[in-house]
Amino acid sequence: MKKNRQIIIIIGLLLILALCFFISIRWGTYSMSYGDIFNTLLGKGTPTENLAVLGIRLPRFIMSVLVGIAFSWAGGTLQTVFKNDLADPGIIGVNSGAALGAVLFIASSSGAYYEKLSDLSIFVLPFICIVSAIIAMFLILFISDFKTLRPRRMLLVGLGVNAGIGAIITAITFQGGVGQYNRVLIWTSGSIWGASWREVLVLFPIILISIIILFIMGRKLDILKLGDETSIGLGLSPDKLRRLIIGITVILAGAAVSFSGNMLFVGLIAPHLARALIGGKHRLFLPTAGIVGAILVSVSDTLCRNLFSPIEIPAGILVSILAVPYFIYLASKD
Amino acid sequence: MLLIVIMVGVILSFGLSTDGIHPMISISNVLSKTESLEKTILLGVRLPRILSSLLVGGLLAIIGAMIQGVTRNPIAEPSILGVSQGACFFIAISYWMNIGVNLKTSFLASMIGATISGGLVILFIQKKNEGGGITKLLLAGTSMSMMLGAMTSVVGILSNKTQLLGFWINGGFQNTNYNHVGLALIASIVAFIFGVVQSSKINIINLGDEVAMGLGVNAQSTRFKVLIMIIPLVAIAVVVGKTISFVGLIVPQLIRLVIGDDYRKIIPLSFFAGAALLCYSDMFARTLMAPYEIPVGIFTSIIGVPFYLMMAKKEMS
Repeated sequence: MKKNRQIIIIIGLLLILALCFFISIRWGTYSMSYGDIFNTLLGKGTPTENLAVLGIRLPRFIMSVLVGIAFSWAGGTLQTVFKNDLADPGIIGVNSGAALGAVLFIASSSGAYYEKLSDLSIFVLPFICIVSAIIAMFLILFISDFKTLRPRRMLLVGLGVNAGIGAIITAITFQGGVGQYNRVLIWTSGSIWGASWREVLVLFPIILISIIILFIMGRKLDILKLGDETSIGLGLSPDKLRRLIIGITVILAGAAVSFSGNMLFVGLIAPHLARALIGGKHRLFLPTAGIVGAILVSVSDTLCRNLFSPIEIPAGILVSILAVPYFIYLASKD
Repeated sequence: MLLIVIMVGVILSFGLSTDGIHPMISISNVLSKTESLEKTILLGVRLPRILSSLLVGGLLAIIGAMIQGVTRNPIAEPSILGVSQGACFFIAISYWMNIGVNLKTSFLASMIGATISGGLVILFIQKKNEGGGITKLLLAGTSMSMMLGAMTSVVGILSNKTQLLGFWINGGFQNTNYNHVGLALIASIVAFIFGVVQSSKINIINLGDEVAMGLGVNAQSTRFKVLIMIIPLVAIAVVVGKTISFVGLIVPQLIRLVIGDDYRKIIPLSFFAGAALLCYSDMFARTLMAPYEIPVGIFTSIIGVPFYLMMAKKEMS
């Protein structure tokens, strides 16, 4: 009976995601009917339709799904590893480290933020972001005394790191003064703006491999959640495991940041919802969190793209506006 | 000693220029009686700017010291708690709605915003007085300030004023004139007197609510009074200097390191140290990347965050 319920929940979430897919493909400046969308997806569209659907909206939707999955898997596992319900790669500061790496790289190579990245840069960028995310993670663990694992201190440190790196990013990108503030925002608040197939193809394998590894380790994560003594009793070495898992989550978060900027709170909200829906078993709840995260990011992106069209606001801001009250509620609860 | 630092800062920022007026010439120019372009620049543009950076710096530092005192929370500060961002958000909205933004309307908007966000903070503080409240208050405040900052950015994008609002979000003293100076001066005087008068009570509250009650001070009501008083002061600081972060954290902490935990000294000294800090920061913001200007709040954040991390590490252990 319980199994049935879980299957129903997952199918329901997938249906919602499918609905998001059609809405996000259809809704835009160039509007078209669902029939046209089907035709275009089957390869029978007019050139304009091909451009709108296959060239712009589809890669963007896929990118938001990938980013949502990456952040929610990273957040979900970090919450287990740090024994901290409020952990999220964004809030603890890893994302902002990655974003700083990206901004420094772009500033030093071309100065054209996000726009005309060469093919090579597209491949190098995730790598840079992952490396800088790792550095940020070390820094955060160092400052917040990883050994003692005080959940709230880690969050305080993370929010501070976010503020500081945000200031540095602003200082770097604001120099020109004119018009660059939008790009500052993309990196400091997160946005799927400008995603194309190239980015999707680079990001996809990284995320796929990482989540497969995490899925395989799902059982071990379940054990880790029971506490260090239990894990040792069951023949696991918690510290080693923890290091490995943190490494993978940092790769996930860093790679996602390289094309979406510092999107906060997705990794907090999605795992929480998933846990409430389906329970805490990692092999079930991480994929569920992934679907929820994908829904969250794609809905935010679609709304932010269209609500004030032709002006676009960063999707990460909408996520924050939704998530902050929830975060405050969680943080002030005992 | 602080006064000497301030004097040097004033003279330096008076002299340092992006328009090629030599420092010595500029001073002799001001002293001479003839009208000249240089004199207009110096007296009409640079002087009010220096004065407002001094006053706002002092104001923010005093506000920070008072909040830290009454909440017994060494990291509290108006921008960390989101009060400044609330004020800034409403100013952004007033730009969006195209009300002719001048000193009066921006003060009104800032006041509304500071009252709302400050009110939330006060509610939170009054509710969570017991142990563990420090971290919770900070987490709630920081995330709220982040959200309000992000919403201000959205307003900036929608009203196509991102560059202008970029300065509102990150702080800056461009376009300050003598009206701003006047406003900041009034606020500073009020804050200074109020702070000094309350400082002995703050000292007592700092010992704990029960002790305070034993000594005849009602901690709850004093706390409430001080926090309410802070709201209009923050609003004015935001109108004049926009959202300048971390000054209210760095300055009182440094002073505390030097002279100890006595608010009767911390509050007045914070004023002068804050004035000095912001005067120098603004000078760098103005000249470092000339002809472009960096928002001054960026400087204070870059100095302030390591400080904040240090404090967070120390306090939580």
